[in-house]
Amino acid sequence: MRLDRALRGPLDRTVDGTFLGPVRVSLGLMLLLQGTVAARELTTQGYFGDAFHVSLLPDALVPSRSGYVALIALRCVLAALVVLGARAREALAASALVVFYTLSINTLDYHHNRYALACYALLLSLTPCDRWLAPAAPSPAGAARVGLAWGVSLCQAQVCLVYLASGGSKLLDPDWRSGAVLHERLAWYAPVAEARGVPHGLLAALSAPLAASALAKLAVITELSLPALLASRRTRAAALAWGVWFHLLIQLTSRVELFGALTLTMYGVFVTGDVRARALRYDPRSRAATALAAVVRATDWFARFDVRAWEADALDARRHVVVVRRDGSRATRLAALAMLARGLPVFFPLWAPLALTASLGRGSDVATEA
Amino acid sequence: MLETSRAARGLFAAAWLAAQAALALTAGSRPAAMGGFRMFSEASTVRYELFREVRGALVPVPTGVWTAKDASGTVRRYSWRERVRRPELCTFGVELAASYGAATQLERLRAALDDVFLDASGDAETTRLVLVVTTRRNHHEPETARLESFARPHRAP
Repeated sequence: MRLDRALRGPLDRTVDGTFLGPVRVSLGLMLLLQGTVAARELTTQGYFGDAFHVSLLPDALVPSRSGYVALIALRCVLAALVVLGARAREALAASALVVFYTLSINTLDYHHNRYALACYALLLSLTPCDRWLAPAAPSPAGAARVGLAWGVSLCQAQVCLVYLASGGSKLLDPDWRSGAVLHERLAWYAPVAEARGVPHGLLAALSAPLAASALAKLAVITELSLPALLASRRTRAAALAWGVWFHLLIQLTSRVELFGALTLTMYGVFVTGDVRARALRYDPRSRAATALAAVVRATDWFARFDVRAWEADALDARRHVVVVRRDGSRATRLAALAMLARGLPVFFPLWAPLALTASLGRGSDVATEA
Repeated sequence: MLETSRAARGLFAAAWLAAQAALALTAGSRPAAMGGFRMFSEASTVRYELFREVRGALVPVPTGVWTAKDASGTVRRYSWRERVRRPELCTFGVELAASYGAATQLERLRAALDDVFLDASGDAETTRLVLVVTTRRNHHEPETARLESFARPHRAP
């Protein structure tokens, strides 16, 4: 009975699915990209079944050339449906099954990020991610946005499982713990990183054996601690910020296909599903404040801010922007920018440095009763 | 059903998480650690050279292309790359990154050897194909392995 009661919450809880819309669109774009890559390989390299391949399934279950062409076309159509939000949940589930199947019939094409994308697509299909229909469409109101939250919890668990599996395997590998693997990989990808703008001096410093050893330990600790930090609501935002920088660094210094973008997309499932629970009030006479409001409206993909022009109140007239937090407290200047960065995915990497700087300054908060 | 039945949701969630955990824990036993999410697990390299075994002697095939007589004595051309198209499995004599690990690369090369030799069934001179593979796992000392295809009797006139 106690177990039944304990499980009832996670299995029956509901959530406003507005924040899942951008996650769905991003996964859909990645599925579309993979579909087009497969189509390009089909035209440049030919049908995989005509060449050496390794299949987990018996030959009878490997499609013919025309069957494979149809499968690739189906992948692209399903991905487009996911992006557009038309029968999105069904399209996500079908996309996942098609990707699982294509990875099974040609394991030479297997990549962890491709498999992870299929897992996430399947789990996202269990969430109310279709409520946010399309980027341009107005958000449906009220109860229409709400659905069961258990799929969101499964998505979160999958992200944590990926970190645990990756971090655990590194922890058990003496070459990883010592930094030998990272040292070698940094040396391999130094030209790629330099081409992406990473300074040569920084790369040289990072690839020194001692630095590589320290970085390797930091990577293992990061991957093993992120699941615990993400699970707690108190540490979640800090964990996400740390994770964002972790993946940005990997993306800059390595070749990882979609792994970084996929994980950062899935960070969206950790967003609290409270639509317009924060507010941005701005002075419409100020050009800078109006521009900031426009930027917030354009980048507020998780629908977190209620953006409205200034209303006359007792606030200091010299302030052009005020952010009202979820708890009703208000912030201006750098603290307001930090709050905006925390809520807007594009600017989220800036949240930690802005919040730190704001906390060192004074006078960014205004009295709640104002 | 998942939308309407709590028991179905509970069962699905438990089965999914158990399967994922099992796949992650046993990934080491599968090529490329499939299902294991072992990102950047190695920084290993592999370099390989192709040989044909003809009358007991190894004949180098540096470009992956060779000619040999069939059972009727007609000379035919054979090419590794016509059968194996992936760059990491058809680039001879060059040190390549083994992004999914040296063991995975060796296993794939071994399978490719049999596949190519089977495809070159008209070659009546070659009794087996051999790959001499040098792997360097995470910058340790290089190790050399000899991979052999299945054997076939000499049938050329």
